[in-house]
Amino acid sequence: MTIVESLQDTSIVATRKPRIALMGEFSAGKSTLMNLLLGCDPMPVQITATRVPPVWVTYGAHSATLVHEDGGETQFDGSDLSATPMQGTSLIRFSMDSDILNLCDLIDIPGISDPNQKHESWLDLVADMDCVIWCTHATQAWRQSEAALWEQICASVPGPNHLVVTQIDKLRTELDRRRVLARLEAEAGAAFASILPIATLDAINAGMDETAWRNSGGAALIEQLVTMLVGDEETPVRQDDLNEPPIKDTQAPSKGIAAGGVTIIAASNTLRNNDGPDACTEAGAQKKVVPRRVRPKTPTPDRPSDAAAHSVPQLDVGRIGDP
Amino acid sequence: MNLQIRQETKPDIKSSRRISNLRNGLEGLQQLGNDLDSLDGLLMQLSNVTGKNTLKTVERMRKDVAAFEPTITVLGQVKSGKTTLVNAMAGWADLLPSDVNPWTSVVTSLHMKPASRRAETGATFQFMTEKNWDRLLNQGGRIGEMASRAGAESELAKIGEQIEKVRAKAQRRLGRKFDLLLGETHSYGYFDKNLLERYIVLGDDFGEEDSEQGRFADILSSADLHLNSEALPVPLCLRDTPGVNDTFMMREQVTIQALRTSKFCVVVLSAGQALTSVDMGLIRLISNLKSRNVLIFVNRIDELPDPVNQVPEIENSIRQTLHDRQGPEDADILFGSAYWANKALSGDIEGMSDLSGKALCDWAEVVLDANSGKLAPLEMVWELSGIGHLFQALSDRVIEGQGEQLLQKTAKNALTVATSEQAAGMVRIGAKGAGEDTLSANRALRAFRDISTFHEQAFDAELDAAIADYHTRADRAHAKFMDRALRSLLTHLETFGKDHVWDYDPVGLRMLLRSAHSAFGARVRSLAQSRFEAAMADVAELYAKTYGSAVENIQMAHAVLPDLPAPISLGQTIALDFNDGWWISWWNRIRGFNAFSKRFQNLIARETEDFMTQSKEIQTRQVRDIAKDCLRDFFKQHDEIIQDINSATDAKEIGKLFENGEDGQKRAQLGALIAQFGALVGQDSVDVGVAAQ
Repeated sequence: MTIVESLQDTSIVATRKPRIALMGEFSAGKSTLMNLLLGCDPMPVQITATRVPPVWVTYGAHSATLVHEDGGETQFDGSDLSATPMQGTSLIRFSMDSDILNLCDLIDIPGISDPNQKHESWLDLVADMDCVIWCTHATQAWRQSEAALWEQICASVPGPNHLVVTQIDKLRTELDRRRVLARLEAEAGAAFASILPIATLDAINAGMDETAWRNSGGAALIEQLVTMLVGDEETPVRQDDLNEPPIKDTQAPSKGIAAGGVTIIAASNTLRNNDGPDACTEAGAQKKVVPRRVRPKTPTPDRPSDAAAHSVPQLDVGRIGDP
Repeated sequence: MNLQIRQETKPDIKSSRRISNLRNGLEGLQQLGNDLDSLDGLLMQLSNVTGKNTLKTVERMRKDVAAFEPTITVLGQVKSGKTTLVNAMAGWADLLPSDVNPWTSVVTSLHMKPASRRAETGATFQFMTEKNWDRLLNQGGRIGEMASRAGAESELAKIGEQIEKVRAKAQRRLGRKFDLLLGETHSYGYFDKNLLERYIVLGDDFGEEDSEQGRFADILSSADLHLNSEALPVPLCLRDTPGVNDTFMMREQVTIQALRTSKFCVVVLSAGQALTSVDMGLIRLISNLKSRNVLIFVNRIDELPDPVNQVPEIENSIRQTLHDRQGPEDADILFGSAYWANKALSGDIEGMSDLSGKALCDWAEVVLDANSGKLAPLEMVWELSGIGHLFQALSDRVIEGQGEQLLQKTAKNALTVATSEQAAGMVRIGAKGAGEDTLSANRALRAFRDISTFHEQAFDAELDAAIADYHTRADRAHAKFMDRALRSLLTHLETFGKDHVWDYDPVGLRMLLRSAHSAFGARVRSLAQSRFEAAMADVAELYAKTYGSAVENIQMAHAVLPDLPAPISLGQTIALDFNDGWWISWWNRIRGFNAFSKRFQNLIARETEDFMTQSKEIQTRQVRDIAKDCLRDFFKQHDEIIQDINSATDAKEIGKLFENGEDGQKRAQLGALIAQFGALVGQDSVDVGVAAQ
C-alpha cells in the first residue's frame, strides 16, 4: 500500500497528493535539498539564514501567490523568493512543472533557531503535513533545539518521516561518518523511519554520473521517497517519472557515503521489524531498500518520552499485500 | 588522595619550530610579560631591604604577580569546534582529543606557563560531589529558556532524568568504587593521551558496553592540566567547555556554571550556521559581562564554498542580529579556521581536503598582503587560520582588563613600601626635623588604629546607604515592570483573546536592573574614592605629626577599587522568558480580569524572587566585600609600615645597623628602587607631605 492509497483508505483526504515538508535548523540545507528534488532551483540558497515564508510547491503551470496573514492573496512573479517580506505573509503558494510534483507536494518550512524568527508563523501548517524530511547538518547533527522541536510536533505528522543528514562529506573520514550515524541512530533512530546521509553538493553536481550520484547518497534518498510515494517492486517506478539520474541498482552498496546510508537504513529496518536483532541483514546483503514495516501503535504510558515516537507511524506503509 | 608521579613524558608544547609567526598577535602580552618579570625582580630586591613587617606586604605582592593567570573561556554550541580551537591556541594540534561526537561533560582548564617560568607539568581531576549534582539542577539561567528553545519549560525535568541515568550507569560500572570516588581528587605528575582518554573522554555512549576508555568521564567535575608553552609570553589559562545545545543537556548546565568565573569569553560559532537563537541565548547569558570582554570567533571558514564573499555576508548577518536582538553590538567578530591552524601546527597541509584547500587559496588572495609573500607555506596557513588575530584581540583585553591594573597596583604599593622604608631610615638616624610635638611610637600606632576604625566604620555606613538606595530603585523597576506586563497581557486578551500567543520580553526588566546596578557601581566607586582619599589624608597627617619631615617623602598610593563583579545573575531565566503561552492555563482557570491580575502578579513576583534576591542581596554583598577589603588592605599595609618605623626607632636595632655599616648601602639601594617604581607609576602617587595638607 502506498501512502496515497493509505490516505484514501483511511479516507482522510481522498483527492489530494501527499505533502512532504522539509524542516530543520536554518542553514541545514533544506532549500538546497528542495532544489535537488525539484531538479531546478527556485528556492533561494545562501550561507546565512534565508528569511522566506513557508513555500508550498505544487504541480502546475508556473505561478506564485502570496497568502497574507489576513487570508488575502496576491499573485507575484516568484522569480526571487528571497525578496518576499516575511512580515504579514503566512505562505507562498508556488506551482511549477517538476516530475516529483506529480507524486507529491513539497513544503519548504523556514529554518528553526533563527533568532530573528518565531516559529509560530508556520506551526499551523503542521496539521497539513503528511510526512517530514528533517534536514540536519552532518558536522553538528541533531542538537537539542532540533530534538525538542521534533518531539513537540512529530505526533501530529503521520509519517513515515526521514532524517536526512546533509553535507555528510564535511565529515572527513569514513570512521567519522559511521560514528556520527551511529550516534544519530541511537538518539533519533526511533523517531524516524530512516536516516539518510547525503553529500548534497556532490549529489547536485553528479549530473548523469551514476557512480557519483550513488556515492553522494542522492540515489538512496530518492529511492526512499519513491518507495514511500508509489510503493516498490509491485508498483515499479518508471525511470522517466523522475528527472533524476536513473536508479537501477542498489544491490551492492558503493563505497563511501552511500554505504553508510544503506547501513543505516538497514539498521532502522531492524529497529522497526520487531524481529529481534537477528533480522539485521548485513549492509552488503541488503537487496533493495526494504519498505518500512512499522510497528503498530502501542501506547506505553510508562515511558512518556517515547510515547510520541511510538505514535508517529500510523500509516502501515510497508505491509504490501496485506488485506 | 591518589598521588602518582611518573616522569616518562614531558608534555611541553611542541610548537612547530618551522613556524616563525606563532607569536603573532602576542606582542602586547610579551611586553606585559617583560614588565611583570622586571617588576618581580625589583620586588625581590625590595624584600632584601624592607623591615620585617613590611616584608609581609612585599611577599603578598610577589605572590600576586606570580599568580597572574588570565583565564579565557571558550564557549559555543556542541561541535562548533571549541576543542580544536583550544588546541590551536595552545599550539599543540592534538593536545585535547576532539571528536565528531560530543566527547566530554567536563570543563577542562589548560594552565600554560611561559618558557621563562617553566613549571612542573601534571594533571588534576576533580570528581563530582553530591552538591555539584544538585547545583546542576537548581541553578537558574538555562539557555533553552533564553533561546525560547522548544520544550524549554520541561527541560529541567529531563536534565534530572539524564543526570540520574548517568549516575546509575556510573554506579553500575564502578560498583563500590563509585561512592569512594565522589568528591575525590586525582593528581598526576604527568599526562598523556591514555590518561586524558581515561578521565575526560566519554567515548561513544551507545552500542557496545563501556570499554576501559572514558571510565571516569561521566562523574568528573573538572580537569586541570598544567603544561609549558614556548610561544606564550605570560601564564594563561584556556578553558574548554562542553557544548551547549547538546541533547545531553547536563553538559549545558556544566558550561553555564563555568561562566560565573569567566572574565574573558570567546564564543565560537560555526561559519555554516552563524548565530542561532541558542548562540543568542548564550550571548545573553554572558551579556552582563563587559561586552568588550566577549569575542565572537566564527570558526570553520574552511568549510565555506566561497569564503571571500560569504564571510562578509555572515558578518553582516551577525551584526544585524546582534543589533535587532539587543545583543552586544560592538562585540568583536573574528573569522578563522582552527582546522587550518592545526594543520599548520602538525605540518600536514598536504593532508587537507580539496574543498578546504580551495577555500584556503581563495581566502589567501583577500587576506594576505604583499608582505606575506615572504612567509613559508605553513606560516601562511597559520596566518590565514585567524588565530593570530584572535590572540591580538585577547591580548588587548587581557592587558586592559587585568594586566595594566596589576602592574600599576603593585608598583604603587611597592613605592609606598620603599619610601616608607627610606623614611624609617631617616627616623633611625634621628632626622626628625619639626619634631616638637611628635607622638611616641605606641601612641602613633594607637592613633593610627583609631583612624582606621573610624574610616572603616564610616565606609560601612556609606555602603549600607548605597545598597538601600539600590534596593529602592530595583524594587521600583520591578514593580513598574510587573505593572506593564500585566497591562500588556490584559490588552492582549481583550484584543486577541486567549488563542493567540502573548509574549512579553523581560528584557525591559533586565535593562532597568542593569542600569540600576551600574548606577550602584558608580556610586560605590565614587564613595570609595572619596573615602580612600580621606583615609590617605588622615594617615599622611599622622605620619607627619609623628615622624616629622623624615617621612615626608613616603609615596602614598590610594587604595584602588578593582573591577566590580558583573551582574551575571541577570541572565537567570524567569517565566516570561518562555513565549509558549504558559499563561493560558491560568487564564482558563481564573475568571475575571481582577482575579487574574492578582494571581498573575503573584506568579511573576514569585518567579522573579530569586532573580531579585540575587541582584539585590548576593551581588551587593560581593561589591561591598570587595570595597571593604580594598580599604582594609590599605590600612594593613600602613599598619605594618608604622610598626617597622617604630621598631627602627628601637635603639638596639639602630646600634646594630650602624655597627655593620649596612645602612648607607641600603639607603642607596632603596633610592634606586624608588626611582624605578616611580617610573612605573608615573604621577599617580602622592608624597605624604602633600597628602597631609
